[in-house]
Amino acid sequence: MSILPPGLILMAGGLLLPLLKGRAQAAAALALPILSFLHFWMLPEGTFNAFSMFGVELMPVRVDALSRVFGTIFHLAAFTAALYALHVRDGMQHVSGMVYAGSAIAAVFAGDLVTLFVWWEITAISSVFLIWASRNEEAWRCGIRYLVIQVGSGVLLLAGMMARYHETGSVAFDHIGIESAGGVLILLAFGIKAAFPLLHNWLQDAYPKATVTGTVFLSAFTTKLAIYALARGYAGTSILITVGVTMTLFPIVFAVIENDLRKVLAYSLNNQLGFMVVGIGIGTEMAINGTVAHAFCHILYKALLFMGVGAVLYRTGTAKATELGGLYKSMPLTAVFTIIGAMSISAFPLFSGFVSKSLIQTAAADLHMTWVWVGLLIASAGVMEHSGIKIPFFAFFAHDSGKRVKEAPLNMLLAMGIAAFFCMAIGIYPDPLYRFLPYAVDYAPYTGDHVVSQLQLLLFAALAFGWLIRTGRYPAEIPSLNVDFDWVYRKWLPGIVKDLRIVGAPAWALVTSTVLRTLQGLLNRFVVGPHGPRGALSRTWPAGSTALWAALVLGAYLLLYLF
Amino acid sequence: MSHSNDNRWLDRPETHKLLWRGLIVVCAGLVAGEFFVHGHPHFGFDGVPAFNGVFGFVAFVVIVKLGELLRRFVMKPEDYYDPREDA
Repeated sequence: MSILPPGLILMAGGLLLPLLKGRAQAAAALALPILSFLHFWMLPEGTFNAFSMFGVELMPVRVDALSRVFGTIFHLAAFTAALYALHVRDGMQHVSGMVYAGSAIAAVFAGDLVTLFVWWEITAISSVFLIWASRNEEAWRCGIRYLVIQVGSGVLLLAGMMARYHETGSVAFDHIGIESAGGVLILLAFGIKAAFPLLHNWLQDAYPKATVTGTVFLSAFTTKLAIYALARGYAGTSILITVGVTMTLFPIVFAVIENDLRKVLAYSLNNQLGFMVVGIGIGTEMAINGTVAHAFCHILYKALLFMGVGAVLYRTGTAKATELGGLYKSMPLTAVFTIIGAMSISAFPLFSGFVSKSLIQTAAADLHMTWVWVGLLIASAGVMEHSGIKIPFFAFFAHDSGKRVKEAPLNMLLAMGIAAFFCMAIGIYPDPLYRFLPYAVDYAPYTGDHVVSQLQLLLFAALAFGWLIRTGRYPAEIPSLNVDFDWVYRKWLPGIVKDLRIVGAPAWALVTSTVLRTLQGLLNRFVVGPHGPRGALSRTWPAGSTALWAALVLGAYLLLYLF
Repeated sequence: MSHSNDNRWLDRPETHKLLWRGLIVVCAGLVAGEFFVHGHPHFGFDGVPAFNGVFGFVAFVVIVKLGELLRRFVMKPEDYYDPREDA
């Protein structure tokens, strides 16, 4: 059976957007996700458009329970982000946003690794324009770094796919595992996009440097596409539990001292991915359900937080904690929406994080994984610190920065309102989300014990914050830059190359000049000698002598003919 | 810049004191509330009274202090990666 692949409407429509201008262009960008969603929602489950190329069986579209959840939330994210960007009059951003969202959706429905690879790379290439759209030197250089790392992930995926085809004779995208070389390469490819520890810095580097609206797009797709791919290919791969717990913990410490609130959110995003990776590593039905539910909720509240801080950046021109504060007076609605996002990510009862994160936490508890459970509990207190308290407190309260600005534009408020609505609706009534998950859910989040213990964790954490602030023990925000692992490739390795250039330059000059002189000698002897301007084989003869020789030859011929 | 004209309720020290006391009361209530709900600890140690509260408080303080410690190693001036430097 042949169908239009999900996501293609967004990509094709996105590429046609330059035909429109101004308001019409932004409105069309808003209509595309709706059209695409209606088309996607009609599709039955199954595999479509199968064909074979050079003897390899390809399955470009597969709709099943897992891909359906991600397809749905990606459409909702694309619509919300397009609404948030409705005021933007920059065609490049609208085109980039739509093609990026479309390719991420298409990737989720890829039934084979070749198709996945194609969309994987298109997400990388289309999304970099959201960074470059900031149009400054810093964003330009950052975009290049982002592109190298993202495309590199695709190259690893390609290599892993070829190894796997060699090992199994198939490129189908089902469970992969790490038992083979191909499986390890593909895990690394997914791990880069999922921001595994040490492979993570592209995220904290790029997302704070994209445009206000670009970051909202970026926050939704790339990393959650990787989570989807991991859930499909590596469920129950136990090393992912360790990787995931590490991911939940180290970013929270960086988030405490980070001054750029969009970078705090990037670290926070990394920490949230950790919860999902733990769920994939545990791999039970409950854990996978938890990962999928958490990805769904996370896309909404993370987008909401990036929208709130983005609106502040849009109005005040800064997202730095040291330059903000007291904005609840002039941006009260943005403040309320941001607080809803903060309470959702912190997993307060009645907010979405409460009903999704607890599935993963309970899956770990059911298997009596003590250290995993404790690690996730520490991470939860950390989320309360950087996203629950720090983001709203330093942007909207704390000391009054004296900034008096206008409330966010209407389209931004509407987009935040939609995201906030879903954050609360899912938290209050999680059943529809639970029914939508790949496996049957046998879990009730709202037990007295769960509510009380979670509120204790969060409010005692708030108590700790109050105590630290009131006694002057909370570290002051400082305008600064904190180096992370990116120091290795942004400072250390370039430094070594520079040193090598200084020490090695004379030696290198000697080597190159010797090689060049030898080559020159060989060239003179065998090429320039016989064929050069004075060479026997390239002499030019005067026309007169040529005519004379021709006459002599013709004369000789005549004589031979006559006799 | 002075903003004495918009000294809101939330800006007043007495409000801060009220909120702080309110938070303490709520936290105490949550510890008491534990006795009214039916707990089912998975590990044993998580069944200790006020376990989650104490855990949350201590974890929060430790994370913040670890952050302060981390600053000594990673904090650089804002233009540390200035593009003009690395040519």
